[in-house]
Amino acid sequence: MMLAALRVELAKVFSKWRTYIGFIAVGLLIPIIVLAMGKEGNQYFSFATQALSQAFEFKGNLMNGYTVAYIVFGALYIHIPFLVTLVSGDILAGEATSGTYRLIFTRPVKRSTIVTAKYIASMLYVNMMIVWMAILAMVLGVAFLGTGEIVVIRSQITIIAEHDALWRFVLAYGFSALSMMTVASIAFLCSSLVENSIGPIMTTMAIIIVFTIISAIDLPMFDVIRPMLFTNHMTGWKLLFDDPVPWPRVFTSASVLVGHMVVCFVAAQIIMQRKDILT
Amino acid sequence: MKFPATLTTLALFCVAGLSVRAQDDAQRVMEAMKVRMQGAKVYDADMRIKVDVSFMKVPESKAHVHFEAPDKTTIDAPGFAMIPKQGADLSAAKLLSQPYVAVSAGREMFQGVMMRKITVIPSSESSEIAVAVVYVDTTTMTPRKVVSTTRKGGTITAELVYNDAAARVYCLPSYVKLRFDIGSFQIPKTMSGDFENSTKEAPKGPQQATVEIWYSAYRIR
Repeated sequence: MMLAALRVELAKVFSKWRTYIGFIAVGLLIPIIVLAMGKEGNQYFSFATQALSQAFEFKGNLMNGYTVAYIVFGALYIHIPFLVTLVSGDILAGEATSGTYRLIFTRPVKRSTIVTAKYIASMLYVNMMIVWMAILAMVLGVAFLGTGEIVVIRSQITIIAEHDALWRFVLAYGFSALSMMTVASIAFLCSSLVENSIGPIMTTMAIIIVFTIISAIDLPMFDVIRPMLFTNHMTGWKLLFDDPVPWPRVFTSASVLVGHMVVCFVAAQIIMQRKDILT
Repeated sequence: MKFPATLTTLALFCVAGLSVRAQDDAQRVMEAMKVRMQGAKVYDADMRIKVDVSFMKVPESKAHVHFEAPDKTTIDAPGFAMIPKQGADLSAAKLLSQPYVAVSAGREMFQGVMMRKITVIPSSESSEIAVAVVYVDTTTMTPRKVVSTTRKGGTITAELVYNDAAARVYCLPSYVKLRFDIGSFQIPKTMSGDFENSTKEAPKGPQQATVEIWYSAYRIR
């Protein structure tokens, strides 16, 4: 029953053109970034390493596919949540908008099964988006610029050996899938509360923006709140490019994100179980 | 008690004479090493490089150095490598390749061995080095430590080890440890993307770099 419900939900998701906005946007952006980085990316490094250029000569292919994939990852990561909410924010509220709640919830399928199927469909969409992003960034990056060491420029510069790169990317994309599923779960919860899909999309984005700003402002009063904000843990994928990887922090962040997903899913289930579809 | 004037003059002449002899000796020691260094007309060696900079994490890298007399040094790396602009080309050899004046600066213990300290002042204005202090192991007649002050005001310290007997003949080291100053490091948050405050901050102010280079598989011609 669940599989049939899931198939129906996936068919619904992929029958709407808005589902493809994210894929198209990523599909356009990544090739542009890869080409631009390949052409002018060395300026990026010159700026970052200007303190060292007097003393050191850098050898090797610094602007390679792996480095570009990392930069693309960091650049798009801020915007992917918006694309993710387009589907998960609409998946329940869209039914309310079109007045089909009564139709689907009066079928001989448990309400919880339908809600779970919708949730899984949202999560599958999120994962497909991340896989699409990963394939484009890695394949195009490596095809145009070759492989090499990853140059991670953060508050410090970390050079990661080429043989040490792939597993980090696999885990980082996995972690980012977790982060985006958290965003999708929040949008899903918001979607269960309202009856039009714009509301959940905007609410989720507003939550992300507010939490991100709080995370970024360096005030002592925010120090207590900061670890509790999921946005603070969404950037945990960057930790996988630290050397050595601070595994306890990675696991803590992953646990917080999974916790948010569970809470949002359970809350959405309860709300939908109690939802009045007759009025 | 008063020294007779002739005795004082004689003593002064003796001191001056000894001093001149010491300077001549310092010049001779450096020239002897220079001749040995110049004995290697062409050589190749494999390099293993470890860079330690406070705001960087860099894996060990491998490179290859090729030298052709009089002063052509080429360093190639199969992958990523950070090659120090000064010192990796065996700075003592480069220092002595131009005209210089050597002045004896006494003796000093270094790594448990009594070294001869010689101050080298390059006389060429084009030299990047303003002055260098070379610690010479007189038993092996090799420079074991070179403290160079650049014209820009920076200091480069090179500690050298000679484990390869064949290379030691030409004063070619098997290990060099370089220490030098580098600028301060600052990346705008818009570039690093590190907006969250939980990230480790980069150290502020000018920093020092330590580079260790292991030379192996010398092929000297």
